Amino acid sequence: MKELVKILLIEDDKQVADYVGSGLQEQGYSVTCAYDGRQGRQLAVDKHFDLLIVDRMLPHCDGLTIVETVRENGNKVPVLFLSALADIDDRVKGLKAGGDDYLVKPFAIEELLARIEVLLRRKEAQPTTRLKVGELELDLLTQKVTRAGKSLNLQPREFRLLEYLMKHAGQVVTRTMLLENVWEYHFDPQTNVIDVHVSRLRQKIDKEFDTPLLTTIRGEGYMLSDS
Amino acid sequence: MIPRRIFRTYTFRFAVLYVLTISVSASMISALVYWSISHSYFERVQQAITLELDNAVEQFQQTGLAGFSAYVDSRTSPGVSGHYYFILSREGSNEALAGNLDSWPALSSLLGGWLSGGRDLFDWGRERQTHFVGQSRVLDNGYRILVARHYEDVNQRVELVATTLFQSTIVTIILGVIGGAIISAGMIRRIDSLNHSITTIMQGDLTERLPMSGRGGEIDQLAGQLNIMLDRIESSMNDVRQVSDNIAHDLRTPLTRLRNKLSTLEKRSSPQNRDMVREMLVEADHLLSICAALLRIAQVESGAKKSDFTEVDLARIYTDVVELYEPLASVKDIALDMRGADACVIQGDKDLLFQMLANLMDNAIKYTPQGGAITTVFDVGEGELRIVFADNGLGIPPKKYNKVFQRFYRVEESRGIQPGNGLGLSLVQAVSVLHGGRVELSDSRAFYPHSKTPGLTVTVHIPLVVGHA
Repeated sequence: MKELVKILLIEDDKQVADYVGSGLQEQGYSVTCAYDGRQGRQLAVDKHFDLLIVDRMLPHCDGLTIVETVRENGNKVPVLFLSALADIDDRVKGLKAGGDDYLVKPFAIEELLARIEVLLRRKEAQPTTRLKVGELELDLLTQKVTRAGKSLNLQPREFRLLEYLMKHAGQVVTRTMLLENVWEYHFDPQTNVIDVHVSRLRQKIDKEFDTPLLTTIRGEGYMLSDS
Repeated sequence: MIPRRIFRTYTFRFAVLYVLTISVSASMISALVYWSISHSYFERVQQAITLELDNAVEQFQQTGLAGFSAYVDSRTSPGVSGHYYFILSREGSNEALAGNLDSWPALSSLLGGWLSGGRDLFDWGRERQTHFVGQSRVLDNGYRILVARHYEDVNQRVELVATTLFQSTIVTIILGVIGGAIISAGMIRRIDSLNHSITTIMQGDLTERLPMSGRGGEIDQLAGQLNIMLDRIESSMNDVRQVSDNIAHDLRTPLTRLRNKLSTLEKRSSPQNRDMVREMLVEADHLLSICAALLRIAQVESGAKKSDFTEVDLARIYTDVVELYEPLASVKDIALDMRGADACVIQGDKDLLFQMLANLMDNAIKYTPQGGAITTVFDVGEGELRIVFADNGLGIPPKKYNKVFQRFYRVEESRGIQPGNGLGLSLVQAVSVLHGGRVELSDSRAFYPHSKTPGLTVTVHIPLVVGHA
């Protein structure tokens, strides 16, 4: 499957491009690199890619313009912005221009890989009111969670946490992603505060059952899956 | 406040000295004027008496007793200025032969052959206290003549001069005191405002400058010099900060590369090496988080984020932070008491405010022992809101309150006990300042009066520029 996934990386810093490129190739993605904005825009418009990774600041043609051009052509390809600018303002601008996610440099390669997974899966996700992972079920309308038919009592935040994990079942979800999407804040937790929330949730969904659904992926994040 | 302190000031002491000098000079000048005016008055009286005596003697010698009497009459008739008394008698006898006195009076001698007497000896026809001066001359033929003049009028004029001089001296002294007080008050006000600015600057706002009145006086010069000094200090402080920020910035990319390579290595390494690589990863993450925190503080302090301010509900952020950390507190069996949070909208940066409160909450949990207690308060008051994080942990000595805001400063007791980079409170301060507020530290006696340990209470004050909803 993964051999088919084509990623265009537009990044003027060769060192970053090489590192990210080889990291992606290791994961089995097919990577095309463009080192300046003009070349990147040409490639993005002319060829088909499954995902664009675009640096905000580029020579000749900046990242925002590239994505705007791509979107004007009706291309809905997922776009991940890379940027050294951490301002919310820039993040908002990036997302407004048509970006789907925004990652501030420097970043851990795991963070990038996790986000790419999420972006690639998003395309396939069907709008639904019921989420199901194994015997765990979550109803978005009634706000009810059951496992193997047994009703689980979750706090509102735990519910949102579980919802996010279920929507990304089978994918690694990083702590930063949880903060950004479940708590909706971009900040740097000094402690293991997210872990405590996750382990509370784990208590509720896994404790009385034989097979754990929520696993910790060391050095990366968490994954909810029924395998 | 000023009127009490005024007496202790250098300026006031200077003013007192100046008033004293003025008083002494004014008194001396008055005395001199008094002496010279009275002297000249009496000299004129004496000259007039001598002239009258010369005339009377001449009349007597030329025209005898009758001529003398006629002269006396002409000099003592109403309308003639001055009040002269004449008497002619034989030497050795007090009987009056002519003149307007009944008998030769008893006189006491003064210097220079002058004589003086009082009202008791003479019947002046008017009952009032009066003195006179006179001069007598013994003639060749055994007669003697006395001419006297009372000097009540002169005394009155001299007294008037004395009174006037005395009053002017008093007025001079009063004006001197008032002037001195005004000058002192002015000086105190200027020096107070300098002091106030210096206090602000010492509390850490290096951008503050001393006020200049613009009149170019020596205080302005002093303030100007101090301002130049502050410019230099500020610029060298900025240089130091800039260098550390640059280091953090330049280290970030290679550190990230190092971290990512370690992460690749972790996956490839044998099980016996994996743990060591993981420890290295933790260290690399720690270094990266220091760099990130330093750069974030630098960015916040630059004030650039202010242009991104939007309306944010701080009460919501406060609730989210406390809720986010609540499980962490409960893991440590800490009793968490969260108070009040009505919606309160301010202009601000949502993520920074969250980070600020998260740092405070994180610290409170870190430094509160197992089974301790934390109280958080969100209190909207007059023109400002207060967010309080109070714990009943060990606290920190009050003399270190200022230091904990310095970058990398960590209270010794906490080193090694708790993880951390000593940058959390620096960021808290930077964010509160960015929002026009300030941070205050105190112990937690107000919240935990019965606690054995003082605890630490951190209060963030944020001004409410936009009315809260």
